[in-house]
Amino acid sequence: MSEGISDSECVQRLQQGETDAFELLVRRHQTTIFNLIYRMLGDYDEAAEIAQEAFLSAYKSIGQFRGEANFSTWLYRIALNHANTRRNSIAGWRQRTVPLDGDHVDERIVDPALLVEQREIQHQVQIALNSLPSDDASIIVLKDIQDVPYEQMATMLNLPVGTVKSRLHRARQALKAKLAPFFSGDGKQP
Amino acid sequence: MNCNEVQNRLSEYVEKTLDAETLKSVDDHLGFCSRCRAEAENLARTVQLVAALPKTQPPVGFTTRVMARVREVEAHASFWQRLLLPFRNTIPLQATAVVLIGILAVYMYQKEQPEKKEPLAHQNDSLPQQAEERAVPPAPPLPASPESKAGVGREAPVHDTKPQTARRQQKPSEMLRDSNEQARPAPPPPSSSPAIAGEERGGGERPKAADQLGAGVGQLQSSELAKERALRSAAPTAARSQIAAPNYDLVLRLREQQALSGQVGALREQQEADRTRAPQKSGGLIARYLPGIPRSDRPETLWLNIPQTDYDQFKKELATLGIIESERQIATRDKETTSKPDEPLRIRLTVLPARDAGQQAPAVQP
Repeated sequence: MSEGISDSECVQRLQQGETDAFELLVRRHQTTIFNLIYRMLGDYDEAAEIAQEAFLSAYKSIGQFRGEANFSTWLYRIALNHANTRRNSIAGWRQRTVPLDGDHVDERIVDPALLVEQREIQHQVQIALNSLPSDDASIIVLKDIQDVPYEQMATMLNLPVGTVKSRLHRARQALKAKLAPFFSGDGKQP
Repeated sequence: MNCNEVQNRLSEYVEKTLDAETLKSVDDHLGFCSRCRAEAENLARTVQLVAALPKTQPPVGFTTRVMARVREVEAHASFWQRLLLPFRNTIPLQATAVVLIGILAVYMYQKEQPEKKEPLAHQNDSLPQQAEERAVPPAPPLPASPESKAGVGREAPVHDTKPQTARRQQKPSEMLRDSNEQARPAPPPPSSSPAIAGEERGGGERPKAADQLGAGVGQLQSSELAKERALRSAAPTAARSQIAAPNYDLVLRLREQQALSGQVGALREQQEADRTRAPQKSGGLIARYLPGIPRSDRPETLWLNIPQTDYDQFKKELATLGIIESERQIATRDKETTSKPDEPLRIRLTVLPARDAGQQAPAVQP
């Protein structure tokens, strides 16, 4: 199947019974969806498992997709729901430790000290994200990590744009507070 | 702008999405407010740190594993899912279920309607039959005749336009019995059958007898109808049990008119005497038990209740009026075993007018 086929056409084919069309959709969106779920959970293996479940749910409920929104928006919503369900199903999730995944750092960093520092910072940020409520974590991941436009976020979260912006500011303030030890009193970088 | 207003706009400030006027106001405030400036800087740093998190790639073979699970789901799809697969993405499952339930409900409703109509249909079918039964009860077992054969059970003998024909096939005594039994409990009206028999025997018609014959035929018809009604309302045996059978069936042929007149006068005198004194055994039983003077111009059937002890004497006195042409004991009464010796005998007396000269009939010795 050609890679140039749009998401809507793939969905149509899939709704007509062409299961192979779903493979194209998976390949096209697997990194985005996996990363979203990984940043929501902070655990690589868990993220892989939940991402599979999210795609499987999308396949099973493909008949409910009416095409009113983008397929990516619809898929994002499914992925967020799975991630939040996972977060809420584990007691004390917000206090759990996050494994340090050293294999997934920016490969462009060559200085070992800087690399270690970078890993430590990422680890702390991930911990801070995990400590946020699911709604705050979701909106930060969507905006600051996935760079999803406000309008798409509003559709995804079923909220007005203004509400999305105010909630994002509040979430950022909360995350900033958790990362305060990394800031000097004069605002200098750690 | 104050510090709160500025801090509420810091996210948009960091993203550089503020309009020009608002952006200038915030810049002016941050120029002289170190605290808001520090907040702005920390917020910017936070956003940077989050954005700096690297994009993590899914594990190798992630797509393959996802599709493998998709194939499993597809393989284990139920019959209905396969059936609705072409439509599953266009027709919601809930709507399909609602449609199927509606079809099932209509089917069951239509199935119940014929069943409800059937009893009514049966009732409607039976109503005319019942009506016919009321109007046309089953005919009693009559000797086969062309009229009776036709429309058995549907034509009442009352509709038989030739009762005489049917009756001619019966014995006169049976005709009398049949015609009289239906008139219970009241004494039956004068039967026309003796008239018919008389016609057959006598051969002549008298004006009054002709009218009485017509009346007798009507009475016969009405008697037949009443008989049928009695049979319809109860079992045949029960119906017949309501009409007590006579113990004796007597047929008396009156003497000639002149001879009878003397006897009639004597009888009248006897009846008058009985009103003033106790009836005597001899010569007074006729006056006592006969309801009236028998008519000499037409047949007449009388029902009498006579004590057993008076029966023989009664017959002797009857012989003075005429000839007892027949005597038949219908019900046997054992006088020795009866608990009530004084229980009267039920006598059916048929009085026939005098014969013309030359006609003889056998007489029964009393």
